[in-house]
Amino acid sequence: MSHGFLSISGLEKSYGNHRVLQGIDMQVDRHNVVCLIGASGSGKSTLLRCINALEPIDAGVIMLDGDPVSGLGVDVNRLRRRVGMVFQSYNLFPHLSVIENIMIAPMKVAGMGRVEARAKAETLLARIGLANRANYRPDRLSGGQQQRVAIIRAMAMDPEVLLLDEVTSALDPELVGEVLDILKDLARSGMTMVLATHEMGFAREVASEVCFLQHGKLVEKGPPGQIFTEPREEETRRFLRRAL
Amino acid sequence: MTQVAWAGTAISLALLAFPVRALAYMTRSSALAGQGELVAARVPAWLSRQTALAGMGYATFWLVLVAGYVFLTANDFAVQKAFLNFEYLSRSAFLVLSAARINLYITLGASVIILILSLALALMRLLPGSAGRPIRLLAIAYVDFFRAIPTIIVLYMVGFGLPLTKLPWISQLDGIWYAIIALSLSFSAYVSELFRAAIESIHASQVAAARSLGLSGFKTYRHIIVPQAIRQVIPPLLGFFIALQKDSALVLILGLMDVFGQARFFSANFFNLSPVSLVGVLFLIVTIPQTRLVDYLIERQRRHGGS
Ligand SMILES: Nc1ncnc2c1ncn2[C@@H]1O[C@H](COP(=O)(O)OP(=O)(O)O)[C@@H](O)[C@H]1O
Ligand SMILES: [Mg+2]
Repeated sequence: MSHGFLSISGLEKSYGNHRVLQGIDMQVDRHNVVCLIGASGSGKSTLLRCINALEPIDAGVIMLDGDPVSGLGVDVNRLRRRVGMVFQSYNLFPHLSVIENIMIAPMKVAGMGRVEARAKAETLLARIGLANRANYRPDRLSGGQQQRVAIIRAMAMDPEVLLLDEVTSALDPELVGEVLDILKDLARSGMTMVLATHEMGFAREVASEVCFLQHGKLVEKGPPGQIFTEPREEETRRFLRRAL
Repeated sequence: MTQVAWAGTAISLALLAFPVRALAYMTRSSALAGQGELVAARVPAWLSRQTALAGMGYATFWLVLVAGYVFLTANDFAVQKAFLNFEYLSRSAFLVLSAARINLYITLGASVIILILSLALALMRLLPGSAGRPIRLLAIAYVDFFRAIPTIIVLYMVGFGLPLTKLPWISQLDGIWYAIIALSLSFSAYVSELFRAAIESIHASQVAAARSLGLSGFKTYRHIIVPQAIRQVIPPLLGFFIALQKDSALVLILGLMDVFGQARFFSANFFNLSPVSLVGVLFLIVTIPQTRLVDYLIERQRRHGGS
């Protein structure tokens, strides 16, 4: 078994007696983009939350560059600095301006000075074309703009991996493109990413590997060309027929 | 007296204009209906109803005014003399109004302590896990205790009890300090529940976002949850602040010469309640703008903070 940069093996997670993740094995190499696809409720969000230690796991091992992610003695705050996460509902902090949303982690977690953090945030904002919205409250931005800010808020910590949970699902269709463009940029720049997504076109274009989950099991994984054109498993075929 | 009576009669008669006009509209409406103009007849009919309703409204307003006047002037102005004697008012006004600074000190002092103590209580009550249980229980016991006991009793116990303890410093405080301590103890129990509700209302996704950025549990509280909770809590907090100002008048039971204590002193001397009425008017003037502000803030929050 090869050991990727992010390596998950035998991952089990239950809520009560509902087994939400059942023996997940997967590897993510550096600079790769892995897309998780699967019906709603198949466990994609839970898997991402486990990788970021937002949920305790019941069994298995998650390793990031050789360091265990969960278990006794793991400094989760240290781990989370290395792993960025973006949520479906953006989760910007409503009491902070756009730029403060981006500055807060560099300042309060990484101990960066205010001036330096601001400069960094401004650079990131310029990159997504929102430099002129720096002092707005998040609720004055469109959904697409908010999600772009959430992405660079995560990037401000220079994470080694970025986890994205259906980041375009809450958006109006005409706003999806601007967010996907940012993600494509990030992929091109070599960012390691794991995304749960329903955007099959995007997965096809950007993913290095696609993983299909169903009822908490990783049914099939492979390069997008293979998964989307000649899936091996009947369940994958059935899901894709409905999704495409 | 007769002038007032004439004026009153004139206004009462003027109010008759409403029913007269209503009748006129009614007649026009029937006439139109008689000519078969059923649609056109509806307009004067509607005007007639509106006029009649307006007449009833104004008449009610007028009746209340007249009743109030009659109450004040009955028995040769006995009520007015008891509550609003201008001579007594002017003789006591300066000292009574300057005694209001005691209420100001007490209110401001207690506010500071309440803010700190209640936020601490709320956070104690929200401590997670089994390690937090003893502290949680402590906070719950405190809140239950002080919400159950009337403020005036807490005031009495603190104000007369602590001096009896002969404890070095605690038993020799100024009366104002006992008032501040007692009101703080009592109000913090209520206000901590406000904070707790506000903190609990901050969605778990905010915590997830903060933690995923690497903020520790403490920093998440400090930078993300508490600031949002404080924002939410400002309007109801101001409501408690108003209640605190009013309850500061309770300190007269400790014999403090606050605004009410001073007014009562004059009232007892004059055998007349006008100085106390003055206190009432002072509270009206101070409180009403604040309650309007609270209403405005709540309304604004309702419109903006949809989530
Ligand atoms: N906190 C939770 N408590 C109980 N059940 C949960 C919780 N979170 C998720 N689940 C359940 O776990 C399953 C997988 O959920 P999720 O990971 O959100 O799926 P997906 O993101 O693929 O839609 C669902 O059946 C869901 O109901
Ligand atoms: Mg999900």
